[in-house]
Amino acid sequence: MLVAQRSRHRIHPFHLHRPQTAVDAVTLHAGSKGTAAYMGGGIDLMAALKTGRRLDDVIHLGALPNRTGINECGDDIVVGAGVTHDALARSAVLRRAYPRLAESWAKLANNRIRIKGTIAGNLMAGNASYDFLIVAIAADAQIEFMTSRLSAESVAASRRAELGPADLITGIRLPGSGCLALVVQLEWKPIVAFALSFRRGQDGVVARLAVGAGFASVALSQVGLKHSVFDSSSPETASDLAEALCAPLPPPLTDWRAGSDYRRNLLKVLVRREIEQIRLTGPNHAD
Amino acid sequence: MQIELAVTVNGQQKRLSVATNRTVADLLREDLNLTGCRVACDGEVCGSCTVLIDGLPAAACATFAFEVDGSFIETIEGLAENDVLHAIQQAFLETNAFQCGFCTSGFIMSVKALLTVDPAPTDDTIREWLKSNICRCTGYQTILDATRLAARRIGIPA
Repeated sequence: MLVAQRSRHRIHPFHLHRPQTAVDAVTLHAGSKGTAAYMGGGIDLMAALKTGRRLDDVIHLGALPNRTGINECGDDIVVGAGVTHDALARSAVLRRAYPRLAESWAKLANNRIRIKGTIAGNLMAGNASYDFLIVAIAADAQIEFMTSRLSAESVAASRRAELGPADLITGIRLPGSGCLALVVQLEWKPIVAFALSFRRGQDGVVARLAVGAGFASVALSQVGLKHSVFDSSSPETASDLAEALCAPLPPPLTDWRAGSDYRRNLLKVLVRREIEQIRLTGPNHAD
Repeated sequence: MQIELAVTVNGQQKRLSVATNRTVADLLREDLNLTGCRVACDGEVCGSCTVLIDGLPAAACATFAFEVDGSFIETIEGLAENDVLHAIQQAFLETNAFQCGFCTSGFIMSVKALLTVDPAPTDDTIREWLKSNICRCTGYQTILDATRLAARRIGIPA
């Protein structure tokens, strides 16, 4: 986008709504006579409006209750939809369960984006280069939302694309147990970015690799492990596992930054390194 | 659509009527004549328009005025007291941490926010924090020097 095509002077007038409850917000969206959008942090909305996109109604979610907490809920951790990236990175609850996630998130984008941007906005932007979706998919999280019919529902993060613009995310439920390790690799953006987890399932440990930046859309690959990933005497090498995880993924993009083959090879190398690192450091959790 | 908002800017309470599509940058620059808030990229990237909203750095060009209702805003104009520069401004001056000066107010406001949350930042912390601001003529070493100098002078609060 050329700078000349983007300006705050191109933002068209709109009606502002500041609902006090999620039900009010969804009702306002459904009742809009024109085009409507929710606004959490508003980063992507503002960027879209500066290109001249017209909206009749902006529904600001700042006054909605219970959207900014990160709480343990049974075995799970529920991240409120309005939690900012900064709050996520600083959360003691999250740091206990997902230490590498909190560490990576403290370096996401820059301080202004971390302070303003919200987790739900990151998910709803529908941009493969936005990183929370790959984390949620790797962690096997559920997205909780309110539909336009005012019913509370949830969907696996890997099915995020099924959410429509009228659906209002209320929280993200991350499994608080069963995750042996979760790492997020963002240092090679925009070439590649991925989240890798090892989760204890019913039939043993499952490795889940979710990729975002460098691909046309977010994709998931998972492999059941015959041996413990933490067993250094396992005949399954980190290289074998990285190969098995990367093979089913769709071809990465070719653009001016990097070719598809380069991206695929880089991804394999980075995944292998993370697996080796996980083997050295051991599981995150006591379980 | 117009909305009424109450906001405290550099310690002064203001009651304003603004359009819903008005940004904080235009509110400050055009309604309050606080032109130290610069607008360059108009895309929340360069950091020139950085102001502090409730003590936290924010891009004025990418924040709607209605979002700051009830908030405290600090701009570069609010730093000096009785014609005496703030320690961060003085540090930038002494280390020659600017040439054209267009980005400087944004950098100084970012440094102020940093020294509030971390009064003795490491070089890595300073670099990580200031990656939200772009300078295209001075180079970053003198800005790093200025931040170190300001941190030493302001000191760690008791």
